[in-house]
Amino acid sequence: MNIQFKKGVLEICVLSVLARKDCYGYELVGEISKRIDISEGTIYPLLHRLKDVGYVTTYLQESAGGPSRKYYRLTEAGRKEEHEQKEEWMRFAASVNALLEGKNDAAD
Amino acid sequence: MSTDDQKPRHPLCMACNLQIGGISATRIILWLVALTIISFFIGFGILALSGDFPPQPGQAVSPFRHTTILTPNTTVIPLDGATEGDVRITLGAGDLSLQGGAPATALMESTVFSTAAVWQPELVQGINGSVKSVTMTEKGHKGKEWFAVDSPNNWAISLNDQVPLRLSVNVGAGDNLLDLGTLNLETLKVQTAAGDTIIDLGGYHGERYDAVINCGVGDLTLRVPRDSNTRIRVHNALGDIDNRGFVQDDDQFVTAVFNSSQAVNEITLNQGIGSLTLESI
Amino acid sequence: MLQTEQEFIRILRSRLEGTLPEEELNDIVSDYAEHFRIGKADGRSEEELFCSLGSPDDVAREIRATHLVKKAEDVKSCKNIFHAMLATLGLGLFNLVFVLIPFILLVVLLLVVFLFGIVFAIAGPAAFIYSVLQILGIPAFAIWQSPVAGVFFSIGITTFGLLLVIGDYYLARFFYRIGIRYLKWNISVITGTEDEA
Repeated sequence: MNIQFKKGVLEICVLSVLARKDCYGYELVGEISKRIDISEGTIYPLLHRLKDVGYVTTYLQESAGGPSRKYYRLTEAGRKEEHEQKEEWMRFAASVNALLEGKNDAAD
Repeated sequence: MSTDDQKPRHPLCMACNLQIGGISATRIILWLVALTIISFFIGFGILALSGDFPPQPGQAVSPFRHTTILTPNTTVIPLDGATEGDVRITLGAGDLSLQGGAPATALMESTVFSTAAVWQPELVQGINGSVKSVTMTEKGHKGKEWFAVDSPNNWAISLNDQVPLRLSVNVGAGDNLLDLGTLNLETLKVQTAAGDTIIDLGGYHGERYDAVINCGVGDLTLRVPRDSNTRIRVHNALGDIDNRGFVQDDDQFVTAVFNSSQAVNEITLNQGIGSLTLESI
Repeated sequence: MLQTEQEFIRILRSRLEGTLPEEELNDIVSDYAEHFRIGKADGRSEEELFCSLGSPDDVAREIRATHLVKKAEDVKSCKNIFHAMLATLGLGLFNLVFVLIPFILLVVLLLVVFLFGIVFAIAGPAAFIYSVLQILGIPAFAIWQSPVAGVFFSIGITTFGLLLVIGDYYLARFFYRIGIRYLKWNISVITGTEDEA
């Protein structure tokens, strides 16, 4: 898949993962790179931007047998944003799918 | 880009509330807009009342003065019984049209189409033995009319066809048509600076002449009758030569009937920048 | 090049030092340090983690651009927007077309409007003096068809020039705001090198 295209949807992916549960950085990166092949380093700058605009907050939490980890949590604004972006994406994806399938039918 | 040291939360709000000497920027802007509209309204109103607006056909839409209709100013220089003529014309900026056909008793008849009084040429005439001389010079208008960029300044000059002439034309910027076919030339000197020039000697049956033509920037067309015994020496600087009907030998162009043992009309042409068209007609 | 945690952090630090405040830089570095720490505890090698994070140069470039755009948003100045523009420009070859050219065009537009405004604002008073002198009957200054109309036209030209200058100021502010928004969007979409595709 086109690399430019992937980066554009990274934000909604991060928001959506965080909407399900609070994550620490490594965990979040793992969740996303499991499904999307992207250089994982760029997720951290994205998290910083989301923190700057107030979509996520951070807190430290002790982990079992190790130093505390930095967790990311969605704020109310972030939750709202996630909802909106998700709807938008769903609509968009549905339209694109319909279009692609329609085209295949015509070609066959 | 704007530079200001404030840290406005809402740039637009801050901008609207900008204070200059206690008066808000919005108010200043409204005043300026109103003043602009009113000023132009009144200005065009005055022009309309004085009949200059809306513009007549062929008149440009401008409140500046060069839109006034051209008034021709004609001067006749009499021959005063002289049998030869010496004419020197210097036009700094403007279009020159020169031809024969002046009344038999006149050496020159000049008509100046110009708008500005300061553009009127200076005419000096004198008689020396059998030679009547006239100098027509544009005095120059540097710095005086810099608003009126497109002011037309056209000279239409007719010369006497009978008397032998020493003709010297010096033109600056502008397009020039020198229609010399009916004249009787002794010497011809043409100096151009910028613009297109046509020198038409078509149908010339006067005396043998020597001509020196120096071109600046622009295209030059030179027409010579094919039945005349004429030789043109071209010193080419930059530009191409379009030869129509001459026999070329290196930098010399001669008419088909050329015969060096007879009286030859010698033309020396120093080409500047621009194309040169030589026509044998 | 060694692909170690140390190297990754060293490059990140060296690229961002001087641009980011120390506190923010430490915060970012600690994120990556945590990433390596947990990754290693997870049984992955430093080299493996380094590779999957991608080039530290690209990461630094993106953080730098984000920071400078934010700075330009907070403190509006020619210098800041210029630095933000340059940092965003470095994100990818794409941005030569999508950032540099629009930026140059806008600056030229603003300059042209400004120059026109200044020319009118200066020429207006000059034309005003001309029209007064023409009314006084000095022929050398006769540039107007009607000198009385000329008085009003020159006032109009002056105020129009001032309006252009003022309008240019607002136009600059407008472009500044739009520009910041555009750069932010650009950073979130444009990736650095495309070699990992």
